Amino acid sequence: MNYPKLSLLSILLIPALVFAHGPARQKALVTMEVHASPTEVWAIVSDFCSIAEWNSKVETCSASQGSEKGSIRTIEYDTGEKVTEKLFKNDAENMKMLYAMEQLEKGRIIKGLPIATLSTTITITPADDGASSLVQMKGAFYRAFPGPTPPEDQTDAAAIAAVTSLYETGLEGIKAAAGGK
Amino acid sequence: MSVIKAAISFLVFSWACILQAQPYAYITNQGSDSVSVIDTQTNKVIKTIPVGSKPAGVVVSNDSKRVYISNPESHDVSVIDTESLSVIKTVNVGGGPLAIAISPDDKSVYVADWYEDNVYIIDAETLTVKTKINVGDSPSGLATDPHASFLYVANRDDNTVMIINLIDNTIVSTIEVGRAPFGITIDSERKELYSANVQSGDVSVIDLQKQKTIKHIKVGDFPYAVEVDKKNNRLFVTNQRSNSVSVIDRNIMKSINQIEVGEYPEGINLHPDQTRLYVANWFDNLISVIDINTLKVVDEIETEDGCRAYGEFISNH
Repeated sequence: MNYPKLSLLSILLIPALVFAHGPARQKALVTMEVHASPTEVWAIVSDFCSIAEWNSKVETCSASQGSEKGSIRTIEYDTGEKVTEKLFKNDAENMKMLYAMEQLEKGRIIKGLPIATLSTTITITPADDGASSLVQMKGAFYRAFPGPTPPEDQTDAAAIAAVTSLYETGLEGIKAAAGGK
Repeated sequence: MSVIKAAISFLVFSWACILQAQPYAYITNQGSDSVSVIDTQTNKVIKTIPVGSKPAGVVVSNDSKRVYISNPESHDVSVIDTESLSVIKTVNVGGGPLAIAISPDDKSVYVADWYEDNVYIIDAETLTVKTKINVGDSPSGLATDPHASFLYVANRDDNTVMIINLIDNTIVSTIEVGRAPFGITIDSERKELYSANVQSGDVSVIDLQKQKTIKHIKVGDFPYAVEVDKKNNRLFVTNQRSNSVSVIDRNIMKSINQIEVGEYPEGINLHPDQTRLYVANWFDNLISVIDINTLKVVDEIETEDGCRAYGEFISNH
């Protein structure tokens, strides 16, 4: 009977309790409809280094073993920052790709991307009877700043905003590569 | 007369309810600061309990009367009474409490602080911290021994498992395992301990008599937690980045299958009826229920945001 009262009380108390000592894992999720068949969209993204073509924030990419599982790519962002990412899944049948950033050097903060251990899943599913596709990018990551009081540009919210923006830019690029619709 | 009749039938009904009470699963939802309570008979969420900030770890007492939840960002432990399904106390422990375990007699609760590298011992009667033990770098997994006064601690950033003697709270052994051990699980009869090693993608098997690692078993990507199925002599391991559960046959100490589940599977528990596994998929806010005989997902239950259920999350009754 006192459940509603208790939950209201807890909601009031929660803001006072948030003084994060250490980061919790965060999520980002962006989905876009692209007016091309899933097969066409998969052809755009399935090469592990195609990211340099469809994400304008990425300048260059080279991969150790092409698009094979386990391949490691080095990408350079437009900020000049370089990171390496490993391909965990490249599943043509289910049109799903999963890659993750390799562990960063301790204390490193990537300019414009204040995160650590980002893993990204790209999934393509048919929409509109297969004439069109839903392209989804999902990310799981921690903010890079380890301590309790991150500077304003390195908070959980800043990390979520940066990953979301990275994905939005990528999805816009995939859409443009598929004919712009 | 009719009042008495009604009262009697109410009593009979209440007793029937109590007798039919099924184990509950207590799922920590890290993104929404709550615990989802699942009735495992119906596989429905019957209540959502607000707890501290970013809850992750969970342990149900052996008598099923209490549930302890670790809250890394409010630096405390929420104590839930399973009869009222509400928080009866919040115990401040400091640092970043994550892994949580309980003694076989339910008198002590152990909490690993992975920022300050301590294990706190909470007195379950007074609900205060009575002892603090300094352990290795970033302790992330805990296990207690039902047959001995030992506590096992996985130190993620040291790649070790420590054995602590709980009589005098001293470290008696430090054992090398794979890279970045996270969840650990004991099989006390077999005198083995298993650690899921996130970075090396394997499970270390520790012989507790020899106090050394005797085998590394390859599993999927970013393994997180291990569960033992004694009846079928198997281990089940959640693989965060493979979105799967590896099945290890202990007769050959090899992975024989991978079961597809949701994204970022973390906590995994065998139901007390020993027929199904409950797996928390962090990204999907979803519990997968796996039939351990057919190795197929037979049910899915929605939770709130970011379910982790890291620990022993199903009550015995």
